[in-house]
Amino acid sequence: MERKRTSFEEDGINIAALSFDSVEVLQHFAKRKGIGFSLLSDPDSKVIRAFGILNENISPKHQFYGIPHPGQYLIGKSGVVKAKFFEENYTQRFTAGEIAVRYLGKDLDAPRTQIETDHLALSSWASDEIVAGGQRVALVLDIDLKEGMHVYAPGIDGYIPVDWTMEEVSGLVNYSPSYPESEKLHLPAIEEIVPVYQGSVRFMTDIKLGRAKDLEHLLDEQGQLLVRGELRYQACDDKICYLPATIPLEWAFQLEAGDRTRVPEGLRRNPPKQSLETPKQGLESK
Amino acid sequence: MNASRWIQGVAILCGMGVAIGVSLAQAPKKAATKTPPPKITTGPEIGRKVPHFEVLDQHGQKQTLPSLSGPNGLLLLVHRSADW
Repeated sequence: MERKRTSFEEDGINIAALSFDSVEVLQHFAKRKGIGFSLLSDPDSKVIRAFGILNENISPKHQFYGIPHPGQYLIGKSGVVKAKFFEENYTQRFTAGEIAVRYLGKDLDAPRTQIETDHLALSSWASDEIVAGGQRVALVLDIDLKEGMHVYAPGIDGYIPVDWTMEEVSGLVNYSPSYPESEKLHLPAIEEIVPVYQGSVRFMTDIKLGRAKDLEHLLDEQGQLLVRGELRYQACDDKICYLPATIPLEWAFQLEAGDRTRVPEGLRRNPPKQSLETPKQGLESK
Repeated sequence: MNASRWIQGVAILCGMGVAIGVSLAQAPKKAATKTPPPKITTGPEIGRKVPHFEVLDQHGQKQTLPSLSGPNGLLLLVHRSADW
Protein backbone atom coordinates (compact mmCIF):
# COMPACT_ATOMS: atom_id res chain seq x y z
CA MET A 1 0.00 0.00 0.00
CA GLU A 2 2.75 2.39 0.94
CA ARG A 3 4.37 1.72 -2.45
CA LYS A 4 1.26 2.98 -4.27
CA ARG A 5 0.48 5.89 -1.97
CA THR A 6 1.70 8.59 -4.35
CA SER A 7 -0.53 7.22 -7.13
CA PHE A 8 -3.54 8.12 -5.02
CA GLU A 9 -2.16 11.37 -3.61
CA GLU A 10 -1.51 12.62 -7.15
CA ASP A 11 -5.28 12.36 -7.61
CA GLY A 12 -6.01 14.13 -4.35
CA ILE A 13 -6.92 10.94 -2.51
CA ASN A 14 -5.34 10.22 0.87
CA ILE A 15 -4.95 6.76 2.35
CA ALA A 16 -5.72 5.61 5.89
CA ALA A 17 -6.06 2.16 7.45
CA LEU A 18 -8.37 1.14 10.28
CA SER A 19 -7.97 -1.86 12.58
CA PHE A 20 -8.81 -2.89 16.14
CA ASP A 21 -5.19 -2.48 17.24
CA SER A 22 -4.01 -0.14 19.98
CA VAL A 23 -2.16 3.08 19.18
CA GLU A 24 1.04 1.45 20.48
CA VAL A 25 0.70 -1.55 18.15
CA LEU A 26 0.08 0.75 15.18
CA GLN A 27 3.03 2.95 16.13
CA HIS A 28 5.30 -0.09 16.24
CA PHE A 29 3.93 -1.44 12.95
CA ALA A 30 4.23 1.92 11.14
CA LYS A 31 7.85 2.26 12.26
CA ARG A 32 8.79 -1.28 11.30
CA LYS A 33 7.17 -1.06 7.86
CA GLY A 34 8.00 2.59 7.14
CA ILE A 35 4.36 3.55 6.73
CA GLY A 36 3.66 7.22 6.12
CA PHE A 37 -0.13 7.23 6.02
CA SER A 38 -2.51 7.27 8.98
CA LEU A 39 -3.14 4.03 10.85
CA LEU A 40 -6.34 4.36 12.83
CA SER A 41 -6.90 2.67 16.16
CA ASP A 42 -10.35 1.28 16.96
CA PRO A 43 -9.55 -0.92 19.98
CA ASP A 44 -13.20 -1.36 21.06
CA SER A 45 -14.32 -1.90 17.44
CA LYS A 46 -16.78 1.03 17.76
CA VAL A 47 -16.11 2.31 14.26
CA ILE A 48 -16.01 -1.23 12.89
CA ARG A 49 -19.48 -1.81 14.40
CA ALA A 50 -20.78 1.56 13.18
CA PHE A 51 -19.73 0.60 9.65
CA GLY A 52 -21.47 -2.76 10.08
CA ILE A 53 -18.40 -4.81 9.25
CA LEU A 54 -17.68 -6.57 12.54
CA ASN A 55 -16.77 -10.18 11.88
CA GLU A 56 -19.62 -11.90 13.70
CA ASN A 57 -18.31 -15.31 12.72
CA ILE A 58 -15.82 -15.03 15.55
CA SER A 59 -16.94 -15.92 19.05
CA PRO A 60 -16.88 -13.11 21.64
CA LYS A 61 -14.62 -15.39 23.67
CA HIS A 62 -12.09 -15.56 20.88
CA GLN A 63 -8.94 -13.48 21.16
CA PHE A 64 -9.60 -11.98 17.72
CA TYR A 65 -13.18 -11.00 18.44
CA GLY A 66 -13.59 -7.44 17.27
CA ILE A 67 -11.82 -7.73 13.94
CA PRO A 68 -13.64 -6.46 10.85
CA HIS A 69 -14.23 -8.09 7.49
CA PRO A 70 -11.26 -6.69 5.57
CA GLY A 71 -11.83 -4.48 2.56
CA GLN A 72 -11.39 -1.00 1.15
CA TYR A 73 -13.67 2.00 0.69
CA LEU A 74 -13.13 4.90 -1.64
CA ILE A 75 -14.91 7.72 0.15
CA GLY A 76 -15.64 11.11 -1.43
CA LYS A 77 -14.95 14.35 0.35
CA SER A 78 -18.60 14.54 1.43
CA GLY A 79 -18.39 11.14 3.13
CA VAL A 80 -20.25 9.24 0.42
CA VAL A 81 -18.93 5.81 -0.61
CA LYS A 82 -17.82 6.05 -4.25
CA ALA A 83 -16.58 2.46 -4.51
CA LYS A 84 -15.79 -0.42 -2.23
CA PHE A 85 -13.63 -3.47 -2.64
CA PHE A 86 -14.32 -6.57 -0.58
CA GLU A 87 -13.57 -10.19 -1.30
CA GLU A 88 -15.64 -13.07 0.01
CA ASN A 89 -12.64 -14.84 1.45
CA TYR A 90 -10.96 -13.01 4.31
CA THR A 91 -7.48 -13.94 3.07
CA GLN A 92 -8.05 -12.23 -0.27
CA ARG A 93 -7.89 -8.56 -1.10
CA PHE A 94 -7.54 -6.07 -3.88
CA THR A 95 -4.15 -4.43 -4.06
CA ALA A 96 -3.99 -0.64 -4.00
CA GLY A 97 -2.42 -0.88 -7.46
CA GLU A 98 -5.43 -2.79 -8.75
CA ILE A 99 -7.75 -0.07 -7.47
CA ALA A 100 -5.52 2.67 -8.91
CA VAL A 101 -5.43 1.03 -12.34
CA ARG A 102 -8.96 -0.30 -12.61
CA TYR A 103 -10.91 2.34 -10.75
CA LEU A 104 -8.83 5.49 -11.21
CA GLY A 105 -7.47 4.52 -14.64
CA LYS A 106 -3.92 5.32 -13.53
CA ASP A 107 -0.83 4.71 -15.60
CA LEU A 108 1.49 3.27 -13.00
CA ASP A 109 5.23 3.46 -13.26
CA ALA A 110 5.52 -0.29 -13.73
CA PRO A 111 7.98 -2.28 -15.87
CA ARG A 112 6.52 -2.89 -19.31
CA THR A 113 7.11 -5.66 -21.81
CA GLN A 114 7.03 -4.34 -25.39
CA ILE A 115 6.04 -6.51 -28.31
CA GLU A 116 5.71 -5.38 -31.91
CA THR A 117 4.07 -7.20 -34.81
CA ASP A 118 3.37 -6.11 -38.40
CA HIS A 119 0.03 -4.76 -37.26
CA LEU A 120 0.43 -3.36 -33.77
CA ALA A 121 2.69 -2.48 -30.86
CA LEU A 122 1.74 -3.93 -27.52
CA SER A 123 2.87 -3.00 -24.03
CA SER A 124 1.95 -5.34 -21.19
CA TRP A 125 2.25 -4.44 -17.52
CA ALA A 126 0.66 -5.13 -14.14
CA SER A 127 -0.66 -3.05 -11.26
CA ASP A 128 1.91 -4.55 -8.90
CA GLU A 129 5.44 -5.85 -9.24
CA ILE A 130 5.61 -7.34 -5.76
CA VAL A 131 2.67 -9.51 -4.82
CA ALA A 132 1.59 -11.81 -2.00
CA GLY A 133 -0.74 -14.77 -1.73
CA GLY A 134 -4.43 -13.83 -1.77
CA GLN A 135 -3.99 -10.60 -3.69
CA ARG A 136 -6.11 -9.53 -6.62
CA VAL A 137 -3.93 -7.82 -9.22
CA ALA A 138 -4.71 -6.02 -12.48
CA LEU A 139 -3.03 -6.92 -15.79
CA VAL A 140 -2.99 -4.37 -18.57
CA LEU A 141 -2.41 -4.48 -22.33
CA ASP A 142 -1.83 -1.11 -24.00
CA ILE A 143 -2.15 -1.58 -27.74
CA ASP A 144 -1.24 0.86 -30.52
CA LEU A 145 -2.55 -0.29 -33.88
CA LYS A 146 -0.44 0.76 -36.81
CA GLU A 147 -1.64 3.39 -39.28
CA GLY A 148 -4.67 2.15 -41.21
CA MET A 149 -5.00 -1.08 -39.21
CA HIS A 150 -8.00 -2.24 -37.26
CA VAL A 151 -8.86 -5.35 -35.28
CA TYR A 152 -12.36 -6.64 -34.60
CA ALA A 153 -13.99 -6.10 -31.23
CA PRO A 154 -15.56 -8.94 -29.20
CA GLY A 155 -19.14 -9.79 -30.09
CA ILE A 156 -18.71 -9.59 -33.86
CA ASP A 157 -20.07 -12.37 -36.08
CA GLY A 158 -18.22 -13.71 -39.09
CA TYR A 159 -14.84 -12.19 -38.20
CA ILE A 160 -12.18 -13.09 -35.66
CA PRO A 161 -12.38 -10.69 -32.72
CA VAL A 162 -9.58 -9.89 -30.28
CA ASP A 163 -9.48 -12.59 -27.63
CA TRP A 164 -7.29 -12.32 -24.54
CA THR A 165 -7.03 -15.54 -22.56
CA MET A 166 -4.96 -16.41 -19.54
CA GLU A 167 -3.55 -19.85 -18.82
CA GLU A 168 -5.79 -21.88 -16.53
CA VAL A 169 -3.48 -23.05 -13.78
CA SER A 170 -4.07 -24.12 -10.21
CA GLY A 171 -3.35 -21.39 -7.69
CA LEU A 172 -4.69 -18.61 -9.93
CA VAL A 173 -8.18 -17.34 -10.61
CA ASN A 174 -8.64 -15.59 -13.95
CA TYR A 175 -11.32 -12.99 -14.57
CA SER A 176 -12.89 -12.02 -17.87
CA PRO A 177 -10.97 -9.22 -19.58
CA SER A 178 -12.66 -5.85 -19.95
CA TYR A 179 -12.50 -4.39 -23.42
CA PRO A 180 -13.28 -0.73 -24.16
CA GLU A 181 -16.20 0.39 -26.26
CA SER A 182 -15.52 -0.26 -29.93
CA GLU A 183 -15.78 2.07 -32.92
CA LYS A 184 -18.14 1.39 -35.80
CA LEU A 185 -16.24 1.12 -39.06
CA HIS A 186 -17.94 1.30 -42.44
CA LEU A 187 -16.49 -1.13 -44.97
CA PRO A 188 -17.69 0.28 -48.36
CA ALA A 189 -16.36 -2.68 -50.38
CA ILE A 190 -18.80 -5.06 -48.68
CA GLU A 191 -21.29 -2.46 -47.42
CA GLU A 192 -20.92 -3.52 -43.80
CA ILE A 193 -20.56 -1.64 -40.52
CA VAL A 194 -18.39 -3.54 -38.09
CA PRO A 195 -17.21 -2.97 -34.48
CA VAL A 196 -13.45 -2.44 -34.43
CA TYR A 197 -10.54 -0.98 -32.51
CA GLN A 198 -8.19 1.45 -34.18
CA GLY A 199 -5.43 3.69 -32.82
CA SER A 200 -4.70 3.21 -29.10
CA VAL A 201 -6.73 0.94 -26.86
CA ARG A 202 -6.34 -0.51 -23.37
CA PHE A 203 -7.51 -3.96 -22.33
CA MET A 204 -7.51 -4.96 -18.66
CA THR A 205 -8.14 -8.03 -16.60
CA ASP A 206 -7.66 -9.25 -13.06
CA ILE A 207 -6.05 -12.31 -11.61
CA LYS A 208 -6.40 -13.49 -8.05
CA LEU A 209 -3.52 -15.32 -6.45
CA GLY A 210 -4.04 -18.34 -4.25
CA ARG A 211 -2.08 -18.97 -1.10
CA ALA A 212 1.69 -18.74 -1.38
CA LYS A 213 2.14 -22.51 -1.11
CA ASP A 214 -0.30 -23.00 -4.01
CA LEU A 215 1.81 -20.71 -6.20
CA GLU A 216 5.11 -22.55 -5.80
CA HIS A 217 4.68 -24.47 -9.06
CA LEU A 218 4.49 -21.15 -10.93
CA LEU A 219 7.87 -19.90 -9.72
CA ASP A 220 10.81 -19.88 -12.12
CA GLU A 221 14.45 -20.59 -11.22
CA GLN A 222 14.92 -17.05 -9.97
CA GLY A 223 11.87 -17.40 -7.73
CA GLN A 224 9.73 -15.14 -9.89
CA LEU A 225 6.03 -15.87 -10.18
CA LEU A 226 5.23 -16.30 -13.87
CA VAL A 227 1.75 -15.79 -15.23
CA ARG A 228 1.04 -16.50 -18.89
CA GLY A 229 -1.64 -15.85 -21.43
CA GLU A 230 -2.11 -14.94 -25.07
CA LEU A 231 -3.82 -12.41 -27.28
CA ARG A 232 -5.39 -13.59 -30.51
CA TYR A 233 -6.48 -11.14 -33.15
CA GLN A 234 -6.96 -10.62 -36.85
CA ALA A 235 -5.84 -7.29 -38.23
CA CYS A 236 -7.17 -5.72 -41.41
CA ASP A 237 -6.58 -2.53 -43.30
CA ASP A 238 -8.86 -0.95 -45.89
CA LYS A 239 -7.76 -3.47 -48.52
CA ILE A 240 -7.06 -6.85 -46.97
CA CYS A 241 -7.33 -8.88 -43.82
CA TYR A 242 -4.09 -10.46 -42.64
CA LEU A 243 -3.72 -13.96 -41.25
CA PRO A 244 -4.91 -14.33 -37.65
CA ALA A 245 -2.06 -13.91 -35.16
CA THR A 246 -1.45 -14.95 -31.56
CA ILE A 247 0.87 -13.04 -29.25
CA PRO A 248 2.19 -14.97 -26.22
CA LEU A 249 2.04 -12.89 -23.03
CA GLU A 250 3.93 -13.24 -19.78
CA TRP A 251 4.03 -11.34 -16.51
CA ALA A 252 6.71 -11.86 -13.87
CA PHE A 253 6.08 -10.96 -10.23
CA GLN A 254 8.18 -10.99 -7.13
CA LEU A 255 6.31 -13.11 -4.62
CA GLU A 256 6.52 -11.71 -1.12
CA ALA A 257 6.15 -13.94 1.92
CA GLY A 258 3.31 -13.11 4.29
CA ASP A 259 4.32 -10.85 7.18
CA ARG A 260 4.14 -12.89 10.36
CA THR A 261 6.21 -10.55 12.52
CA ARG A 262 4.36 -9.66 15.68
CA VAL A 263 4.76 -6.73 18.01
CA PRO A 264 6.68 -7.30 21.27
CA GLU A 265 4.68 -9.27 23.81
CA GLY A 266 4.08 -6.30 26.07
CA LEU A 267 2.19 -4.50 23.31
CA ARG A 268 0.00 -7.41 22.30
CA ARG A 269 -3.72 -7.32 22.74
CA ASN A 270 -4.96 -9.03 25.88
CA PRO A 271 -7.27 -11.91 25.07
CA PRO A 272 -10.79 -11.63 26.49
CA LYS A 273 -11.17 -13.07 29.98
CA GLN A 274 -11.97 -16.81 30.01
CA SER A 275 -10.77 -17.03 26.43
CA LEU A 276 -9.46 -20.45 25.72
CA GLU A 277 -10.07 -20.42 22.01
CA THR A 278 -7.29 -20.25 19.54
CA PRO A 279 -7.57 -19.11 15.93
CA LYS A 280 -9.17 -21.73 13.71
CA GLN A 281 -8.49 -19.96 10.47
CA GLY A 282 -5.10 -19.71 8.80
CA LEU A 283 -3.05 -16.61 9.42
CA GLU A 284 -2.30 -15.70 5.85
CA SER A 285 -1.87 -11.96 5.80
CA LYS A 286 -2.73 -8.92 7.82
CA MET B 1 -68.58 -54.06 4.31
CA ASN B 2 -69.54 -55.91 1.16
CA ALA B 3 -66.99 -57.62 -1.05
CA SER B 4 -66.85 -54.90 -3.70
CA ARG B 5 -66.20 -52.14 -1.12
CA TRP B 6 -63.55 -54.33 0.51
CA ILE B 7 -61.82 -54.77 -2.87
CA GLN B 8 -62.13 -51.02 -3.50
CA GLY B 9 -60.51 -50.29 -0.13
CA VAL B 10 -57.62 -52.65 -0.82
CA ALA B 11 -57.16 -51.09 -4.26
CA ILE B 12 -56.98 -47.58 -2.76
CA LEU B 13 -54.46 -48.71 -0.13
CA CYS B 14 -52.36 -50.45 -2.79
CA GLY B 15 -52.51 -47.32 -4.93
CA MET B 16 -51.32 -45.18 -2.01
CA GLY B 17 -48.50 -47.63 -1.38
CA VAL B 18 -47.37 -47.44 -4.98
CA ALA B 19 -47.61 -43.64 -4.90
CA ILE B 20 -45.48 -43.46 -1.74
CA GLY B 21 -42.98 -45.89 -3.26
CA VAL B 22 -42.74 -43.81 -6.43
CA SER B 23 -42.38 -40.56 -4.52
CA LEU B 24 -39.61 -42.04 -2.37
CA ALA B 25 -37.83 -43.33 -5.45
CA GLN B 26 -38.08 -39.89 -7.06
CA ALA B 27 -37.01 -37.98 -3.95
CA PRO B 28 -33.81 -36.07 -4.69
CA LYS B 29 -30.72 -37.54 -3.20
CA LYS B 30 -29.66 -35.69 -0.12
CA ALA B 31 -26.92 -33.24 -1.09
CA ALA B 32 -23.54 -33.86 0.45
CA THR B 33 -23.31 -31.68 3.52
CA LYS B 34 -20.87 -28.86 2.96
CA THR B 35 -20.38 -25.98 5.33
CA PRO B 36 -21.29 -22.77 3.52
CA PRO B 37 -18.64 -20.06 3.63
CA PRO B 38 -19.21 -17.65 6.50
CA LYS B 39 -21.20 -14.62 5.47
CA ILE B 40 -19.44 -11.32 5.28
CA THR B 41 -20.88 -7.86 5.60
CA THR B 42 -19.36 -5.00 3.65
CA GLY B 43 -20.87 -1.95 5.35
CA PRO B 44 -22.26 1.20 3.72
CA GLU B 45 -23.30 0.72 0.12
CA ILE B 46 -22.01 2.81 -2.78
CA GLY B 47 -23.79 6.16 -2.78
CA ARG B 48 -24.43 6.08 1.00
CA LYS B 49 -22.60 8.12 3.61
CA VAL B 50 -20.21 6.43 5.99
CA PRO B 51 -20.85 6.96 9.71
CA HIS B 52 -19.05 9.79 11.48
CA PHE B 53 -15.99 8.59 13.36
CA GLU B 54 -13.30 9.97 15.58
CA VAL B 55 -10.26 7.82 16.31
CA LEU B 56 -6.61 8.12 17.31
CA ASP B 57 -3.87 7.49 14.77
CA GLN B 58 -0.47 5.89 15.38
CA HIS B 59 0.83 9.20 16.75
CA GLY B 60 -2.02 9.44 19.25
CA GLN B 61 -3.62 12.29 17.28
CA LYS B 62 -7.37 12.57 16.87
CA GLN B 63 -8.55 11.93 13.31
CA THR B 64 -11.91 12.22 11.59
CA LEU B 65 -13.01 11.68 8.02
CA PRO B 66 -12.55 15.40 7.15
CA SER B 67 -9.10 15.51 8.76
CA LEU B 68 -7.98 12.38 6.89
CA SER B 69 -9.45 13.14 3.46
CA GLY B 70 -7.50 14.62 0.58
CA PRO B 71 -9.12 17.13 -1.82
CA ASN B 72 -10.80 14.21 -3.61
CA GLY B 73 -11.44 11.94 -0.70
CA LEU B 74 -9.98 8.99 1.13
CA LEU B 75 -9.12 5.38 0.42
CA LEU B 76 -9.96 3.73 3.74
CA LEU B 77 -8.43 0.30 4.20
CA VAL B 78 -9.97 -1.91 6.81
CA HIS B 79 -7.58 -4.53 8.16
CA ARG B 80 -8.02 -7.33 10.60
CA SER B 81 -4.93 -6.44 12.61
CA ALA B 82 -1.38 -5.16 12.30
CA ASP B 83 -0.37 -7.78 14.84
CA TRP B 84 -1.62 -11.02 13.40
